[in-house]
Amino acid sequence: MATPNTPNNAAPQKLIDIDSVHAKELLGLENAGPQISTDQPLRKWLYDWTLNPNIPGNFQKSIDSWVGILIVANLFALVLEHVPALFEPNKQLFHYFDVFSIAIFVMEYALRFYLAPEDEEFQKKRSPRTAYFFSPFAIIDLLAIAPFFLQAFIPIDLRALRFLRLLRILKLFRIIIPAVKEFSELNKGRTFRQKIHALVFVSPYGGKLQSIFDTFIGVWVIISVLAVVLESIHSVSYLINVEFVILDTIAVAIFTVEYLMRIYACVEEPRYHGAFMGRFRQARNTATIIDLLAILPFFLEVLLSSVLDLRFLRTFRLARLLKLTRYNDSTKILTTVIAREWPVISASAFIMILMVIMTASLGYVFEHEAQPEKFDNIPNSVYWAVITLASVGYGDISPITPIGRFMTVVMALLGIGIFAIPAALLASAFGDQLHKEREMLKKNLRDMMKDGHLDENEIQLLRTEAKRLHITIEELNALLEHVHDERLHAQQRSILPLHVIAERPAQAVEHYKMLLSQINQLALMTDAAKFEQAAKASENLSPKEMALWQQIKSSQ
Amino acid sequence: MTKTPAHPGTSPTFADWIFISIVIGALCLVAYLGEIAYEHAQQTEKSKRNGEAMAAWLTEASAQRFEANYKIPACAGGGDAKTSLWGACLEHLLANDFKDMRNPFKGVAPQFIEQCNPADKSLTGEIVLLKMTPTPAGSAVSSINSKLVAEDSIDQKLQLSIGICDKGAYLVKIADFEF
Repeated sequence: MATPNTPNNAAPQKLIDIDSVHAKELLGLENAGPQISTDQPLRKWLYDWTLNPNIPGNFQKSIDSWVGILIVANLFALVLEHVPALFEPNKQLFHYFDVFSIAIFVMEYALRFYLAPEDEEFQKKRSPRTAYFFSPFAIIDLLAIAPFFLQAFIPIDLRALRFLRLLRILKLFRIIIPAVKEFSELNKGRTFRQKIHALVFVSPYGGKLQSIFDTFIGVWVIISVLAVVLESIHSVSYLINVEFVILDTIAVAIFTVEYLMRIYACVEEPRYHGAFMGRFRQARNTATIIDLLAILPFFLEVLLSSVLDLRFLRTFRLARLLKLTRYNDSTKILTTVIAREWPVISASAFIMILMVIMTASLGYVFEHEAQPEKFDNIPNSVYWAVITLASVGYGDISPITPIGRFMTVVMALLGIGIFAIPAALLASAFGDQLHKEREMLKKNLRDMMKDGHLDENEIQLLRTEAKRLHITIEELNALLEHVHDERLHAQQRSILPLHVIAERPAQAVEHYKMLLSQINQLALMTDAAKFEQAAKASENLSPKEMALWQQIKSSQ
Repeated sequence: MTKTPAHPGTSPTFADWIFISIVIGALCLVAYLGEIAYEHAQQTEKSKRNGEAMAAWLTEASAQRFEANYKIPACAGGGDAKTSLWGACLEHLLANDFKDMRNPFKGVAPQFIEQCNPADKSLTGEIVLLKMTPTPAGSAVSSINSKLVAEDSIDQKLQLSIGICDKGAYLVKIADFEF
């Protein structure tokens, strides 16, 4: 895959020398604190800690995230305020939340206003704070808090006030607009479909907007699942049934658009090439089937409500939770494990079925006469057999004849072993798969570190994979030492490619010294006359090379 | 003046427009189905309001109907068990206080039924009014519910339960109260 366009003035990638780095630092666990000098004016120091986007590890991202969450929470509070059954009894709570939100937004506004002279965008202006005050984002920030203070002086209609409070959502633009700009920059000259692909699939073109899109979908998954759970509580669904319907419709609209976007843009993925077959393969993909299951109940229930009672399908809306597995590799590993171990799992399932049928048949044979109402036929005895073999033992059906009890003891003991096989199999295969993937990561890491350094992309990959595969600091340190030793040996054997040596001036000097020393040794050890005679006979050395040799020889 | 042609790669293609149309179509379908679901939910809400109004009236009446000279003799308590019947009280209610009550799904006066049945969609919007008869101490259930019929005597205090059948003819319980 091609790399995205990068701005011409982009800073060169920072390289980390693996000889001088510790695993903790690589994993971002040490020195995670920002490099902010305390020996600077308070205002600059405060700016660096809170608002400077160029200092990794400071609070800027956290502040943005929490303010974003607060804005979304405000939006929900505003929606819930329209439900009298919820608003009236909790009026005070809503008010406190509003006051809390305003306090945070005011603090944020005041902080930005105070620190404006440190901001790159405003510091060159004649009056940075005035420039900040009239900047679009500052106006939005002011609009978000102004209605609260205005109502203290001017009587504002509640509906108008609520509308004005809705303006708080505009604050999200502070996060979205830069992401959109970055997205446009990354996707300059790309097709519409490629842009859709960049938005919904993880790719180098997605940037921050793709993360925002994922978060947006994730938030809606959680909201809609919470709604399904709350709907089952009579007292809640009784009060806000209509709101649940509206919420579900919005969620379905969002998930439907996401589904269509994925199906349409999947052909940009190398593994889904082909307008029809590629999309068909994507539609068969587990994650996409889950996406479909997340929206299908809504369409089926409403469309077929007059013909069929499909209310039970509402429970399947909980399948939306599975959408989150897209962002978690554990499910992928589990699927791989099941696919890999399928022959053994199916064999053990076959034995389990055999045992269940045998136990049910024996139960029927030995107990039917004594308890005809409980062991009335073999299919009905299957329930008892499964409960016994799986060691659940509800006790609602149990054998009473001596032979029946003896048979149950034997079968239950066998059942413990047989029924445990799939669980043990899956557990060991899961561990094995993880081990394999860790070994693969280690191999990739070795390859990445062979050149002696790691760039930012490689470090990012390392951190993501190390987190996913639970690579410990000790393991990474051992790996670093191993690579270090390997490189040392390689240096000793001089098998490092010359261009790699040339990239590193210190090593290039060392290499030059080593070569000179070898020539000197050669000059000392070889017979000069025979050397020159052989060189002339084979015409292997040019006159310049011959002159250099004689110069070295004479300097000894 | 020459016009710079748009970059061939960036402007939407025919396939892109088809995709955009499908997305718009899907959104319209979701909106349409959402509107239907919303209508159903609103009708269920109106049914709930019917049930709530009935429950509120009966609860309020329970405090007064045992007083002498109660203004609605048909619903008064403490009289003769043979003449003080639910049928007369209900007839009075439907003719006076609840004469405008409508089943929002059908547009006619709601029926009082014993139970909702999802298999019978004709029950949507009807009111389930049940009489709760306490069972002897130690029983598995505290009370047995049965339909309050016209012949039931209302001379004594009654424990009632009210609910409605929603769009799917599932029961939505509203309240248990004393009448």
